[in-house]
Amino acid sequence: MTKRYNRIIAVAIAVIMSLVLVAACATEYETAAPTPAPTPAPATGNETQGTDGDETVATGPREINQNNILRFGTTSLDGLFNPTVSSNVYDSYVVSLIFEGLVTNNAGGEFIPNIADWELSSDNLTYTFTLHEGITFSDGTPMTASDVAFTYNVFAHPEYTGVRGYVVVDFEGHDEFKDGTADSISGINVIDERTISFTYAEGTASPANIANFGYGIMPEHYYAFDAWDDFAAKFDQPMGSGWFVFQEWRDKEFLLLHTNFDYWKPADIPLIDGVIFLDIPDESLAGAFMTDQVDVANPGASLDNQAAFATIDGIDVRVIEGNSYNFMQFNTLIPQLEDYRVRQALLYALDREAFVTAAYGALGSVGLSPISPVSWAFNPDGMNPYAFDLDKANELMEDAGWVMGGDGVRTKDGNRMAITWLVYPEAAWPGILSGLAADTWPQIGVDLTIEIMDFNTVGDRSLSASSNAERDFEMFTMGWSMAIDPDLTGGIFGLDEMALGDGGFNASGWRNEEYARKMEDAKQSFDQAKRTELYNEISAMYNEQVPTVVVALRSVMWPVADRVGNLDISTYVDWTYHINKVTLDH
Amino acid sequence: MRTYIIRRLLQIIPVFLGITVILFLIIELSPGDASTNFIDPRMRPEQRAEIARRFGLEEPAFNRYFIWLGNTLRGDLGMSMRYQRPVTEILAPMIPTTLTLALLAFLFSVIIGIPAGIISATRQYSLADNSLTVFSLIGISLPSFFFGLILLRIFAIQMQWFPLFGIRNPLYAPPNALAGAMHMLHHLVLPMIVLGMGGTATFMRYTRSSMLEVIRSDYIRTARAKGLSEKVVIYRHALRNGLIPIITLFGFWIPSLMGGAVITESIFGIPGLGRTAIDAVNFRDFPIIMAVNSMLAFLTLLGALISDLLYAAADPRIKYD
Amino acid sequence: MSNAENAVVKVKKVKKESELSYWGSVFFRFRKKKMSMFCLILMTLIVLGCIFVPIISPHTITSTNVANMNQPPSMTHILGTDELGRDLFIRFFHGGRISLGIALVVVVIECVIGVILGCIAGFYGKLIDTIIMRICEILMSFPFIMFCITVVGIFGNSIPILIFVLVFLGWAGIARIVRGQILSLRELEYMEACEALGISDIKRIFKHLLPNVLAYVIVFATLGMASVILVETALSFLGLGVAPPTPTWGNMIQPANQFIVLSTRWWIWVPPGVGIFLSVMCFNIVGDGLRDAIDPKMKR
Repeated sequence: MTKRYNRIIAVAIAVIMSLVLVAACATEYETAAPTPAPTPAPATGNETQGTDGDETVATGPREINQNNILRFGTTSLDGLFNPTVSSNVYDSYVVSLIFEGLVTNNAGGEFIPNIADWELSSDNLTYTFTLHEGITFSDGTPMTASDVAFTYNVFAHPEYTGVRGYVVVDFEGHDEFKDGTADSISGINVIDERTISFTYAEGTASPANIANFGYGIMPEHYYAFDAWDDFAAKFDQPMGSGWFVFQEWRDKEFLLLHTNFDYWKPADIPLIDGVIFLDIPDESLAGAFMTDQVDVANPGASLDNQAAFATIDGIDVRVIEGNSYNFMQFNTLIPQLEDYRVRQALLYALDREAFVTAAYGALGSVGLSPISPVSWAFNPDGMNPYAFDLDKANELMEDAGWVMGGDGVRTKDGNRMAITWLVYPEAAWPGILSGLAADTWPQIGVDLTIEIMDFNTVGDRSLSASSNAERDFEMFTMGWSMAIDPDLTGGIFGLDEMALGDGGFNASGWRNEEYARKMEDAKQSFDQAKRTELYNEISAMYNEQVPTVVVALRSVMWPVADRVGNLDISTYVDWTYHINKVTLDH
Repeated sequence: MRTYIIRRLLQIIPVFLGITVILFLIIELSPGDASTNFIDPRMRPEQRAEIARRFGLEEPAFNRYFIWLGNTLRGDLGMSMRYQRPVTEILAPMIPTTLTLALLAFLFSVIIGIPAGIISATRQYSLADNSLTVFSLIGISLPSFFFGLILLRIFAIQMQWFPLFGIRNPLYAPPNALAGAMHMLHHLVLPMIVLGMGGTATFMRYTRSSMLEVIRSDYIRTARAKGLSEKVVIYRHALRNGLIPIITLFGFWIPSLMGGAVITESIFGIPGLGRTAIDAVNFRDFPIIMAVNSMLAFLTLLGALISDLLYAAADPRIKYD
Repeated sequence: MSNAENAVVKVKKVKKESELSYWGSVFFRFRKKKMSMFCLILMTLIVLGCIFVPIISPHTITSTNVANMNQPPSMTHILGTDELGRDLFIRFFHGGRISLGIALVVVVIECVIGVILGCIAGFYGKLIDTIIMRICEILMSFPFIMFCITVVGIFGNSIPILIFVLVFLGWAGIARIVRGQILSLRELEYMEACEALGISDIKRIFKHLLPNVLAYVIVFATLGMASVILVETALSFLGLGVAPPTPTWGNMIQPANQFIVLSTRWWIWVPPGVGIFLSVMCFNIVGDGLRDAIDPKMKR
């Protein structure tokens, strides 16, 4: 018996081993052996590197050292590694490591030249960019103004599938190009090899416009296409002029970038040999740091994560004041919610301090206005924090004419104070917030129903409905983040036709002509003092009327392993901005 | 036999079509689509309308089903909405991973489950039999995700014997293919046990009862009467017939393995079909959802067919026409 | 102990059993298995706990207390508190209520549909049989878990949708069993007698055939409870079943995806896991015991 079984077991083991071998070979390691950089780095680069004290690059190609690769923990990559279409934040990180935009911004949120200097015309409509000298893509081809024109034309391509159409939509001649009556966008003019100008249409000048020139420039010779699908086929094989060169991407596993040793400004060649994005579920990140499998990541700032990371040795948890916020939007067109006093009462009866404590602990704060507290336009004076106060809430309900009924639910003119809240389960916080309301709102005579549905459906029934008629909600919550410029038009706080009309983002239905005009003025003004004043007025109005409420703001947590040196992160500066200065202890 | 195989193959076609029609209808009735994933606060309404049009499905459903069917038969599973690349390209690297895991789990179940069943049957009501029976009861009653978490807690967090997630460390450079395989196997041990647990218990139960039946049968009594040793009786005569019903189980086990892989992969962070499918459902990436579901349905049908054929091949008493 | 003694004991019991009614003798045989009896009692205790603990407990499932979150078990909170400071003891039993309740509803609907269609298919045969059995075949070839995930993911996490999809895929199993039984019973003499007496179809099915398949249905239902609990909790664990704040044993384990919960807060995820395990095991063992008791030859 034993002999026979030994044989069977031996066969079985052989089968297992061969299986795993096959699987391992099928997914061959690209990163297997240390590979030399594709071409020798320019001599000047080596000298510069040498003076920085890095001995491995004295002469010839620098060898890739696996231990000198920065390991970044991500949760999902979509493979849209292209500056025109990337839509998730991790894809955008990959893009910003590979591509370079014309402008960038500093820690103060001001836009500064990156690979081009610019001038703005006196009518604030025309930006003229001059590319820096000697820029080359990673294959050695020089970057010219026509590459820039090519990139910006992609945003307006009739088959464009990305979310950034707004980048070019205000350019002069955009509409003509889009509907086919013009061959190109008349607002984009290549002046010479290194000079290009962009002209905005009359009436669209704004200090916010400069942000549109931060997107990476693509090499026309590599990306040029006839059919959009040919262009799309290169989304997961990006090539740009930046510090890193794309190597390999395996979905749900990793993405590997090697340093571009031929970078056109040798003094700026990164000190690390590459960056690897590791797909690590948010839940496992703490474990990954504990077992030294990752160097940098951006886990959600939940209490659980804070507790977990606080216990890990050998890392430094940086807390960056963030621009992310949770908002709550009321449908102000229904009788229950049309009176601003009812909306105020609901806020008074929602313990947002408790919510912040439960959801984010020290990393969150109660939101006061639609302006980010990090922004120059923010002023907390006179803003009502709606501190938890059930008596006040009941009083406001009475003032608004809602009378308590026998079943504990208020009524007015035959309407019951019954509200349905759309909550999606993909993130924890909507559940926490609505869980608190489920406890306290019934105490002020509100019959709250929490309807759980997935994120996409919540969106389809509220802010992403294609027309106002398709909106089907009473209130919902979602999260978003604020851009550097405080401009509010068009978005969820916008009061203009674009925000409130069909397909607009402000689903609350709350209208006010005067404030709509103020927002437009604030957007177009180049006078910062005047803008600050206008945004203060707008904030005060939002704080009183509360059709859309910033429930809480949250900071961002960046655990960084101790072996990482010189990593610069702040609210407006991504970890990718100055990564060339980063060192790794290996 | 040949006509039987052909007939069974032909029977699969309407069943498969029925499944795809139902799947298609469900997706058709979906209240939301992927467009919410493509919004930016600065977008204009007309740009959003364009995105909606891209996901929007202009042809009537009836036509679209036949377009889908035609393309699928030609090996074109459509474009993923999320990745904006062909579905086949996205699923291709996931399949070997999931298959490796499923096969490892299957072998684990067979290697542990069948011998355990034989031991149980030959020593009925002994201590070994009783403890193995209890073990198999635990095996079929313990939810796999809970079992997975317990294993992670003990062996990955407490003992640190096994990694927490993934199928390998991409920065590890194995000196040779064998080391690479060992590296991967090390990552797959816990998932394999979790995915294989249900199968182990099931195979054990079936082997035990089937062996017991055979051992009690007349020809085994005859063999014993001839004075053959117990070993020869059990392992030469009883085993062969006792295992026939088990072989037919193999085919039916394929779909359970694939279903279990969905859960196992999400617990252990394994880049396979299951996780891709869950992501696709959350993203409303309909072409991927359609593709994975039909693939798994096809595997289920194939498994049933294999079972039937194995049974037909193994048991000459059964006639097919 | 000698064989003779054994034989005597057996004869005695058989004699006693033969005096009992059909269900009486089933229970008689069932009771002989200590394991099955033990599980039946345990199962009853779990069910009673799920019904009564939420009624008598001083805590409620929604009352939150942020100052008191993530507390380990203590005298006031027997199973500790969760991330919102809710009492986990009451949530455990409430979660059990939902998990067991869903399983019960699913199994009952499944059995009703399955029995009716199985009877119709088996009794009338021919075209109707072919149609019903072909539908069963299609449903049984669905990739079960994946299909549940797809439907719940697309239509949203709600208990009715979950129940719908589980019933949709589940009734085919029982329909096939019932049909098989009816087919073999239909050939028996007493059915011919019924036909000769001119008894209506409906009466024949429900009065004369159904009672004979009832035992099989009960066994199927008991084992079905176990598998539905497993599927529902797995889906809820993946976030594609019952969504919080409604607790079920499945979504109560979900926080264990968080590293810190898994490594340091066992009281959050272990009790619901044990709850699932115990109730599934009980239903499995009771189901096996019932099957052996109803028909000792029906062994798989």
